[in-house]
Parts: sequence; C-alpha cells; structure tokens
Amino acid sequence: MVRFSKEITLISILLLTACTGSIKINNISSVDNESDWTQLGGSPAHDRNAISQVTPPLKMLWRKDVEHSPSGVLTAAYGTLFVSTMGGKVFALDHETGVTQGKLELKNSIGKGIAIDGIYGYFGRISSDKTMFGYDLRNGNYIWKRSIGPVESIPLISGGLLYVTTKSGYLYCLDLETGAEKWKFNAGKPFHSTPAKWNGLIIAANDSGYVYGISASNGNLKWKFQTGAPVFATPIISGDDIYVGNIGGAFYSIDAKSGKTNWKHEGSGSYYSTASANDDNVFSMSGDGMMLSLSKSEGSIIWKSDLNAPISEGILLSGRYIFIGSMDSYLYALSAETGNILWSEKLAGRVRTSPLEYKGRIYIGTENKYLYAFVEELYADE
Amino acid sequence: MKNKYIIISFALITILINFSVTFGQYHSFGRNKIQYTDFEWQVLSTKHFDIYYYPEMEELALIGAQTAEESYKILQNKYNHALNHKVPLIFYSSHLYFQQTNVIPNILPEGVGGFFEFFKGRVVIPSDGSISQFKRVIRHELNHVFMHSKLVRVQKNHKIMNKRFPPLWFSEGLAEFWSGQPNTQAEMVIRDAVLNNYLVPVDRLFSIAGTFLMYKEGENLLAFISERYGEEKILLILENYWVHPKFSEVVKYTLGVDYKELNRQWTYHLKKKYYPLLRDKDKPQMASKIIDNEGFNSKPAIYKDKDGIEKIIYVSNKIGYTGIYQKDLDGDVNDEAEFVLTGEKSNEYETFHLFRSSISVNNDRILAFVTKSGETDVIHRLNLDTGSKYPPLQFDNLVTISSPSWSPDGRKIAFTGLSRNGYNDIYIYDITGDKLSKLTNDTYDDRDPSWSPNGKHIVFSSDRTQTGAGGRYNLFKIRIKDLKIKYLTYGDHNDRAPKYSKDGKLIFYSDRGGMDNIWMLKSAQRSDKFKLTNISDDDIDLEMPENGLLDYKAVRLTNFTTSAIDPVWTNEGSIVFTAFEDFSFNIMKVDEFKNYDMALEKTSNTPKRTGLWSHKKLKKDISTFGKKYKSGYSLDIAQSQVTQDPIFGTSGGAVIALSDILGNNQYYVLVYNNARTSGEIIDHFNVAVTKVSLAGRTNLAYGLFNFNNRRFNLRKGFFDERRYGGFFSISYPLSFFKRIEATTSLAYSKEDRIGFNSREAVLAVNSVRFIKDNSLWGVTGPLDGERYSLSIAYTNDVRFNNLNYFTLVADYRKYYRLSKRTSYAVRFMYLHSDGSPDREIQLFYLGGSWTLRLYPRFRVWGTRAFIINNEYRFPFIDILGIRFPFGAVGFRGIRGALFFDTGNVYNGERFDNKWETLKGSYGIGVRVRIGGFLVLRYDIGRRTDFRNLPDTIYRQFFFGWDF
Repeated sequence: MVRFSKEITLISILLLTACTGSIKINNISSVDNESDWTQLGGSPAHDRNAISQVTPPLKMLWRKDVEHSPSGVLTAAYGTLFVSTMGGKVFALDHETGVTQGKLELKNSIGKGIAIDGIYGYFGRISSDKTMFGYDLRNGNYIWKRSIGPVESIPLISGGLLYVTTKSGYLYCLDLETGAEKWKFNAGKPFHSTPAKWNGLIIAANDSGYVYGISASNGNLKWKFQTGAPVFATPIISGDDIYVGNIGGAFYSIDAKSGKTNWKHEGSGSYYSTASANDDNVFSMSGDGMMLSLSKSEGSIIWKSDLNAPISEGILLSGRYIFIGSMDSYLYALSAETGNILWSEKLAGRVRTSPLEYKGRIYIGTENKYLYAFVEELYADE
Repeated sequence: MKNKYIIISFALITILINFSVTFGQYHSFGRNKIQYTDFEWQVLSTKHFDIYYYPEMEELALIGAQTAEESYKILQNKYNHALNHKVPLIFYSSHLYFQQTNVIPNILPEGVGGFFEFFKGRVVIPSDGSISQFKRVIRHELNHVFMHSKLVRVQKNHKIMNKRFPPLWFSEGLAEFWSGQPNTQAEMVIRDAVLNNYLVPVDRLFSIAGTFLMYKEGENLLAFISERYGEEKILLILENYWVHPKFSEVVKYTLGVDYKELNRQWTYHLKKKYYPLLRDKDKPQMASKIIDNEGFNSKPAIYKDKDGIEKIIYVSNKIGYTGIYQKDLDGDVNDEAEFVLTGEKSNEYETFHLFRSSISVNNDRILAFVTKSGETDVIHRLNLDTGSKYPPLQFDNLVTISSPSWSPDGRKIAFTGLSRNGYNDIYIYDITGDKLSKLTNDTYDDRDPSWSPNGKHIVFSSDRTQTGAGGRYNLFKIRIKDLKIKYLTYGDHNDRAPKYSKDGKLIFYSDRGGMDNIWMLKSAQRSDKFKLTNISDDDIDLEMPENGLLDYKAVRLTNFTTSAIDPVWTNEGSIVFTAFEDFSFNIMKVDEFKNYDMALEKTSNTPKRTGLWSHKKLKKDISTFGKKYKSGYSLDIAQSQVTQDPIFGTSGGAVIALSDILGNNQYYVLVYNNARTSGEIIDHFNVAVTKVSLAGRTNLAYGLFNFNNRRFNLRKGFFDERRYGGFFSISYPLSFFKRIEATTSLAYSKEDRIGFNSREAVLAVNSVRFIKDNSLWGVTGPLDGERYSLSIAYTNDVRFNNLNYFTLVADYRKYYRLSKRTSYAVRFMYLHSDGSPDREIQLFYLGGSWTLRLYPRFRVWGTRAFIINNEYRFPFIDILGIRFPFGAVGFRGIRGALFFDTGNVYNGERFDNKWETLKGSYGIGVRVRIGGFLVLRYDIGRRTDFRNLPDTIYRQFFFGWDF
C-alpha cells in the first residue's frame, strides 16, 4: 500500500516537474537540521567532517542518471539531495531512493553546486546573462536573479548574507533575501574557488596567488598573503588556521587572524582540490595523485599514499576513514591513520564531485552522468 | 583523415566489385607502402600502456615504457585529468621500419617523428638512435592523447554534441611546449622569423597549418602565454573550451585579450628579445659569401675536380626532388648549380636523408652518399669524373646509415649505422678487404664520424658525455688501433659534425651560447686548459686526460644571428658551411674569421661525474612482458546514414570498419537498404563484407557481396540490377614506385529494364594492372615526374553467354618541370574494348573536365578511344583574401592552366564501325584547392574539329585534381 502511494506521488511529481521545470519540495523546513550539508564543506569554514562514521566496505544502494556530468559539490537538506550539472540542470533527489523530486533547467553550466539556507537555494552559473540566483525551494519560484559576472563556484552563506566569487575577479556580498549588493571586492584576477568564513573575515584565493582576508561586514581588505602561484583550490579553515595549496605545488598553513604563514610544504604536484582536516592532521591531494597527511602543527608528513590518479574536488573525512572519488573512476576508502586503501569501488566514469555523507550514506557523482548512493555493506539490505 | 581512409577503402571495394562496368581509365595511382620486414610483435603491459615492440628492441621498449609512465604522471598533473583506458603505444627501432606501419594508410615522410591516431587512440613512435629524442617524442605524443581526452570530456560534460578541436598551431604548439625545453632549432626558427620579418601573426597561423614554422610559432606563443599570463592559463583554455565555438573567443575569455592584442604583445616581446642581437652579431648573408641560396641546401663537401678546380658538392632540394648538386667554389652566386644526380624518382635513390646524412669525396673523386633503397639504407659510390657507379654497400644488420666519411687513403669508409635494436654506432668498412668493423657498441648515440689526417683516429659526436642524459652531445676521439675513446670537448651544450683540415685543424658546430655557430679546437696552454672535475674511475672506456685537463679549448669562428652548421675546410683554409636564414638553408663561405669568446670554455661549471650514465628502464608495475602479439579486432568506425535522391530514392545504411591494433588486418562491413516498398525490404537488403590483409609485402583483399540497386548507364538508361558474388584481389609492390595488381571476381548479375527482357549473367572478371608513379605534387596536381598504368581485363559470362569482352587501358602521364612552380603536363590514354559483336561490351565515354575539356561529360562514346591532353601549369594567384565585416575567407595557391586536348572514339561492327571526327579543345583554366581535399576547376575556351576554328566560347565548371 505504501509503495503504491509512493508511485502515485512520484508520477504526480514527475508530471508537475515535467510541465514546469521546477523544484518544489513539500516537507521543507526552515529549521536547521544538524545532519544537513547545506554548502561546501558543511560549514562556512568548510571544515566539517562526516557526522556519522561510515565504515567500509560499502555497497551501492542506487545509481541515478542525472543526464550530464554533475558539478563539484553535492548538498543535502530535508531528506533531499541537490545536484547541479554541467549541462545546466539542478536536480532535487530523494536521498533514499534517488527518485527525482524536481528539476530546474537553465541554458548554461551551473557553478559547482547549490547552497541551501532554510527554504531557499542559491547557485550561480557561467553566462553572459544573469549569473546568480536565489530560488524558493518550496514554491519553485525565483526570488531574485542578478548579473554579477561568470560564477564557477558554489556560494558561501553565513550570517544572513551570501558571499560569492566570480571569474571576472570579484568577491560579492549579497543580501540573501533580495540579492542586493552589500559590497564587492575587486581582486583583479579570476576566482575559481569558494570563499570561507572565519570570525568576521572572508577568506578567498584566486589566480593572483593571493589568499585574502576581507572584512565580512564591509569588504575591506584586512590582509593578503602571496602563495607564489595561482590558487584554484578552496581554502578550508580548521581552528584558527587556513589550509590551502596552489598549482605551483606549495601547500600552506596560514594564520587566519594575521595572514602570516605558519608553515609551508612543497608538494610533488599541483593542488587543484580542497583539503580536509581533523583535530591533528590536514589531508591534501595533489595533481600527480599523491595524498598526504600533514601534521597541523608543523606541516610534517605523517603519511603519504600514491593513489594513481588525482581527485577533482574534495576529501571527506568520516571518523577513522577518508573517502575520495578519483579521476581513475574509483571511490576509495582509506585509513586516516595510515593512508592505506581499505576498500574501493569502480564507478562508471571519472569522479567529478566531492563525496558527501548524509544520514549515514555516501553520495558521489561521476562525469558519465551518474550519481551514486552507497551504504555500509552491513546495512545494505535494511 | 578517418573519412578519407574509409572513402578510399570503399572506393576500392566498389571499383573491384563493379569492374566490368566501371570506367577503367581512372586507375588509382600513388606510391607504395611496402612491408619489407617481418616483425615478431610482442606486448609489454604497464600500468597505463600496452606497448607493442619486437624482440630486437626489447631494451628500447623498456626505456620507452619508463618514459611513458613518467610522462603520464607529469601530464596527469598538468592537464588535471586522468585517462580511463590504457593507451596503445607502438614502437619502432628505426624510422625506416616506422614507415612500414599500417596503423594509418598514409606514406610517412622523413619529417614525421611520430603520430597519435584518433580511432583507437594509438600512438606510433620511431627511434632514430637518439634515445633522448625518442623520449621527447613519447612525451610530445602523449600530450596529444591527454589533450584529446580532456577536450572530448570537457565538451561532453557541457552537452556539446559536435566535437571540435583547437587549431593545429595550438595542439602541436602545446604538445611541443609541454614535452620539454625548447631546443636550439626552435629558437633559431623564431629568431630568423623575427629578424627577417616573416613571423606569421596569431590570427593568420591557420594559413601555415601543418608547416614546420607553424609548429615552432605555436610552441613559442604558448611559452609566451605561460610567461606572461601564467602556465595555468593554458589549462584554463582547455577547461573553458566549451564556452564558445570559436577558439579565438575561448582564448579571449581566458586571457582577457583578443588575438590582435595577444599578437601585439607577443611580437613586441620577441622584437625586444631579438633585435638587440644585431648589435653584436651578423646575419649570415652579411658576413659571408653566398654560394647557393636556392631551395634547401645542406651537407657540403669540398673536392678538386680532374681539372684542378675546387668544387663544392652538396645535398639539395630545389624543386621538390632531393638530389646532389655542385658548384665551383669560386663561382658566382648566380651561376646555375650543376646537377649531379636526382633522387626520389627511382628505387635506386628512393629517399635522401636531407638534413641528417653528410656526403664525402675522396682524392680519387669518388663521392660516397647514402639513400634508402628498399628495406634499408645503402652507401652509394659515384665516380664524379666518369659518372660510373660502384655497387652499393648494404649491411645485413644495419637499417639506417648516415654520414659516410672516406679515410685519407680512400680505402675505407667510416659511417654511423643504426642496427635493429635501435642504437647508433660507428662502423668502418674496408673496401679492399670487404670487411665491416664496429668501433663502438653501446646504447649511446654516436654520429658524424670524421677521420683524422693520419687515419689513426676518428672524431665523432656522441651523447656518452655526462650531460648526454639530458640530450647533449660532445666530441670524442677514438683510436682505431685499440678503440680507446677520449674526450675532446665537454659541457652542457651540443657539439656536432667535426671535420679536420688536412693540416689537423678541427672545426665543428656548437650551440654554446644558445645559437649554432662554427667553432674550432685549439691546443690549450696549461693555464687555459679546461678541467674535468670529479672524474670517476668507472669510465673504463674513456681515456681520461692527464690531471683531468682537456688538451684543447674551443674558440668560436662565426657569430651569426641564426645558425651555421656542417662546416668543412677548403684547401685554402676557408670554411664552407650551411646557414639557416630567411627560412632557407644556404651554402655559404667565409674566408676570414676572428676568434670570439676565447675565455668561454674556462668558466663553464661542470657537474659531478658519476660514471657512465644509462637511461632508466621500467622495472615495476609490469603486468605482461614478452607476450606474443595476437590480432584482436576492435571498432574503427561505425557510421550510419540516410540518403534521399530524387532519382534513386531513399536508402539508409551503415558502414562498420574493424581492425587489429597494428592495422595489419581490416574488416569492412557495408549494409544498406534501398527498398521503396515494404515488400522489397528483404530483396533490397545490400551487404558487402571485405577483409583486407596488409601484414606482408603482398596485400590481399577478398570478400563477398550482395547488391540490389537501381542503376543508371549512359547506354541503357535506368535499370535494376541484382548482383551477388565474391572477389579476390592482390597488390604486390615491386618498389616504392611500382606495383602489380590482380583481381578476380565471380558474380551473378540480373538486370531488369522496363520494355526489355531481363539480362542474366554469371560474370567472371579477371584483371591485371601494372602501375608506376614517381610524380611530385603541387597544390592542385602533379608538377614533376611521371606516372603510368597498363591494365588488361577479361570479362566473361560463364553461364548465359550474354557478355564476353576484354579491355585494355593504357594511361601515360608525364610532367616536365619548367621552373620551380611551372610545368608542362601531357597525358596519352588509349582505351580498347573488344569482344563478340552480338554480346554486350565495355564502352568508353569521353567529354568533361577530366577527359576532353569543354565538351559535355560523356558526350562521345565508343569501343575504342584515345585522349591526348596537353597542359601548361603555372601559378596564378598566390593568396586571395576577402575580408567581410563578419569574417574573412582566403584561398592560397590558385593555379592557372593553358590547355589543348584532343581525342576520338571508334565504334566497332555493332555500331558505326568507324572513327568519328577528331575532336579538340583549347583554352585557359583556373584551379583552386578547398580544404585540402577538393579542387574546383573552371575552364574557358573553344572547340575544334581541326578543320575549323569556331568562335563559340565554352565554359566548364567541375571539380577534381589535375591529371
């Protein structure tokens, strides 16, 4: 009986979404749920790790065709997964079944994900027209649209404001409700990554090689630090320190308050992807496929693991395990203590998103247009 | 390339199948790719590659595998991309072997150093003895693999269905830029282009697509972008590739500047870099005497002829065929070069190695030089007084030979030989004793051997120096008596082509300081001696100088802005050499020179020696090694199409091509249906399956077919024909220029025509053809050489006796070169068909742009025919460009023609039983080539019957290459 009702609901939703091309989620709530991942890295500092430890081995729960390669960041709230694609679509999927709850279609490639705040979703795109959008997920209407220049990254949401970088070299602060510009900072060179927030500072890095510390309230520059080569990766902030690598192969720990370097590690390849950190160590991956665990205090190497291929997005820490999706089309689980590969699964194509942990499951997207859901093998048949 | 491959193959199949009713006069010509060598292919599987090699080059394969894996890691990082399949790499130990590959059907000229093929993603790479160069080419081609994969992925991710790729200057330039540091040659070309004002701007680079200049400009431009905007911008150009369909807009989006501004910045940067050179350096033509500046000239040698006149003899390509020319040393630059011999027209001198192999003349005026002849290179000896030839020297284990050098007594020849394992060593051949000796025997690349005046030593260039691991060459001297080798020069630069004068002065060319100039070795005073530091006792083959000091120092004799290479002494102490200037290679002479930079050698730093070095071989992550290759077929192409023709109706079908990795065995399947009603579907199911085997010297093709089509014949009109049967075809290349083809087919044929009874036949067709082609092509057709074919065929209906005839087609074409870009072309063609008068027979049709110009196509027909075409071909417009507000269109190399044609047909007993009135036409025409594969032709003129010259003007527009 339950299943029959579900099918009717499903058909109704499909019919509705097919007609309107919108996302309307009925059970949406404006109350934060701690298991939700509403933006990159799960928090403004991008430092959140998985709430539940997911223990490998895993088993695939479902696989969903999202029609084009997913963009870099998956988000999840209200039992719904949000996936943006390079084909210009945003999907809302039931996290348990993968069934489509809604779909938006735009002409151009969506930036690296949709950030959620309450009942609203925010995303950007690369276009010569409107490039930044606020969307009401409950009624399927746009609340505002703005032209701010091409947006490749997923926006940051914090304190009722939205912060977003553009490829034309600007960092914008916009009002969440109206999209009105509060301030903008001109860095002169393109941004590829998402800013982070620490106390009253917005931390952003771009092609100039600078990491900037900018006042979140008025956009004034507080400090800037030159890393020596362009920065494509998103900085993360763990404790009071910023961790970020540049494409010249240098990986830094920077004091968030002063902008001064704590230590620098010279890697063997370029850093394109976002790091991850726990209490003691920071984990990074370079373009030559080398994964490192570095001591947060000194930057010394705890372990290194040659993983054959790089990752395109971020690293998920889940208790004692690290999950990464690699460009050699594998989802890997490594030991956070030793870097040894404990489990792997071959997927349909190169992995294009960071792994996301949501309600005890791991979600990941590949460029062959699939979104995967994995669950611990122990619970696979429940 | 892929469409041409399939079209050619299916044209071949179609012609073979329908031989009995096809115009026999349009034979395919072309040169032959010959599989001389039986390779025992094996497979080496690594983490990311499947490498195909043969046992003799096993060590080279392991070196290549190591390089490939290292390159993979580096390129994965640069492109931020991983490949999701193993890459097939096919290695050859010599360029001559590489030319035999069936991976692509094209004839591979010397200038092709390797290629990446899109169908199966195969990379094919030869070695030429230089392992450093082999490694660089591996990196270069893997760049193409990554680039292609990345761009396909970027476009697929962003829903772009019709994949497009960047202009050639970008893809080749990037592959070169990311394969290593720019070499001296690359810098030289750009320097010359800037100083001589022929640098092609960015927005015009498409106009030199495929040329050497394009490669170097592309590489340099990408280096500039990296320096000015950051190397990450190159990756971003690839990642932004989906943003706009026009590549120039992608570049503008990424860099923030358009082509015009980018060009402005780039050319300014180059001018600032190179113009100041003129303050201290000279252009070669301003500081030396020109001997020959027409065409590409290289590798001069000096001798005195029987009258005592000193001559310069050299290898040159002036008009398309490479040959050997000579001039008086003291003659005028405007004197015509005397032609000694032409190569590339016959099997004897199949191809020269234009810039790679020097020539040598001994005191008896016997010239020694090398060409390819059949499977390997040979050394030729030619008496310059009498013109008589000595038997060529060919050595069993040597594939490639270069730079023969006569001993002072004229009884021995030293040369560089490349053996099947891929390594270059120095050899001496004793002519009197008919004995070959090997002087060096290792993996180092030993080149340019030259005898000392007393005949006891040979000086050569080699990468056995410590800096050789980075691809550097220094000079060494080997004592023939005991094979002890000594350093003569040392450093992180390239020293090449040493030559002694009769009184023992050694000159060579070197890129010390970044440009190739001529240097000389002088005995050093103790205080000037160059010290080799940190010498290891492991160098057992090398005789170390006393106290580690080199006995000589190098002094520079020329100081040019571009380059001076391959110097030789004259008897009077002048130096003759090859200079690169204004994009040509000229023979120059300098009589007086001063010594430059005498202190240069003393101050060079030397890294620590650690003994003889070796290239790393792959040792880990090998899943298969030494496994015998087995043919496994995979898809090359699968294409479907629907066509609609107002006459022939609608048909839909597909073509599938399969081949093995090496391309030696291919299958083609053609399936289509042209049913007009549902009831015809089964009957009108057409299929043809063909197997082509290219592995051996004899090429085979055989297959089965079933066709049921509506067809059109000029005599019969429209009719339906059902035909099924099989065929077998052989092609045997006698040489690079000649081949024999034979075909036999057996097919059932039933023709139905409205108003006529059905015609059934079981057709047995047997044909033999002989073809020769050594023609040299210009933009729209051949300009030099000749080609001809003779074919005889017999068609017989073995069951119903409805057809029975034989045909003979003789087609001779000759091209007389009148100047560099003009020629006179003549064609004689005779077509003859004969058979039982009461049965069907082959008919020939004349008229149209391809046969008798200014007459309508197929205007006259007969059972016999002849055509004589005469044409004077000349350049008409070199560049025609039209710029519209929305864009520009341009044409290059528009050619003109003055022609005079004549022809006639004869009809046998069944028709008029006579020759018709002789027909002729004369006029002028224009040909323009579009896109590299289509030539549009327009002719205007008059007809004649040779009795009258009517005034009527006729015009004709069509397509097709010149005959």
